[in-house]
Amino acid sequence: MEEIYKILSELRPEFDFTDSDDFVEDGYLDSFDIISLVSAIEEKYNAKIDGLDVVPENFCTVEAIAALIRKSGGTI
Amino acid sequence: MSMITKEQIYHLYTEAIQKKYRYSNCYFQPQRFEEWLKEDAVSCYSFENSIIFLLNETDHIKVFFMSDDFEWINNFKIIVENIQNIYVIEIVTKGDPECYDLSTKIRCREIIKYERLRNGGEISESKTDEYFYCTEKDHKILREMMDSTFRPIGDHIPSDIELDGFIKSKSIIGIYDNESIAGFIIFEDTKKTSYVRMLCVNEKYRGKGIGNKLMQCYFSIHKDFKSFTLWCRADNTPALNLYINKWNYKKENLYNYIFIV
Repeated sequence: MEEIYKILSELRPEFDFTDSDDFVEDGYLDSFDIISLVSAIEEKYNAKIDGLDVVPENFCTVEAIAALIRKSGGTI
Repeated sequence: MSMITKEQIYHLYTEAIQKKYRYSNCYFQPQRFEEWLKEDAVSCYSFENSIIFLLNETDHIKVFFMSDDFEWINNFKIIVENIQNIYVIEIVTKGDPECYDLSTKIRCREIIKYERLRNGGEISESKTDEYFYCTEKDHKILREMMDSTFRPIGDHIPSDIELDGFIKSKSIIGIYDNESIAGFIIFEDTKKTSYVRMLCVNEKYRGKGIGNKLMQCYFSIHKDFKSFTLWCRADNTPALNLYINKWNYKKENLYNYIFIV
């Protein structure tokens, strides 16, 4: 989880992701940030994320992102 | 190549997004696609390694693709060979990868490039009360200013319905000179982030610092926000200078290309 927080804070250093219950709802991540995040986590975790899974609910918390990484064949 | 009937299009679309194509510019939500289908606005062409959707807009056709390589562009050339129209291909990319440069693969009438800029909350003290929230009576002049300043392709000019929504939600602030609007700014807020959708200065007021004043007004009502984004045309040097040099926006290395074919 720490690594995911690190990726997020590198992407959007102005936010403290630990104080949000929903990154998308709170505006910490928008659709363009998600494009950047997908390539960052695919590279880091050797995952291949399905286009159908690129939906806000898979990026709203670190737990959701971790689940997506596992589902997409990555290991964390 | 085969033309697909309307009844088959949605099935092909849902099938296509599960195929994990390597390249795609289908950034829309599936619900949006369903709406286009209901309006009979979409046609679809399916190939061995790619799929192409054409969306009829008022004065042009938007092109969406999903493909494992850029061979789709050759298929696209075959589709449009005998149909005179303006085709618009919009691609958002991280970085500036050469493979996305469609101008090397197809003759383009024009290429427009936008850059996304972000301010991570580094805002200097900004206090001003020289602005007003635009109201319904301003709708007509806002429309005229937008239509004479921005281009229908690429600049994402709000529709009348959107404009009314922005007015109602107090998302347009303007600077007035007597009774006329010297400039206005439209923004979209999400809790702690704010996105500048449009900044427009009336032609006769340009070069007088109105853009800077509008940004001052904008930041004065967004003091508690942490992140600010906007898209700016890469060749609009005065605007880039304003955002980067005066208001601490930084380039995100994220580009939106509009290829007009």
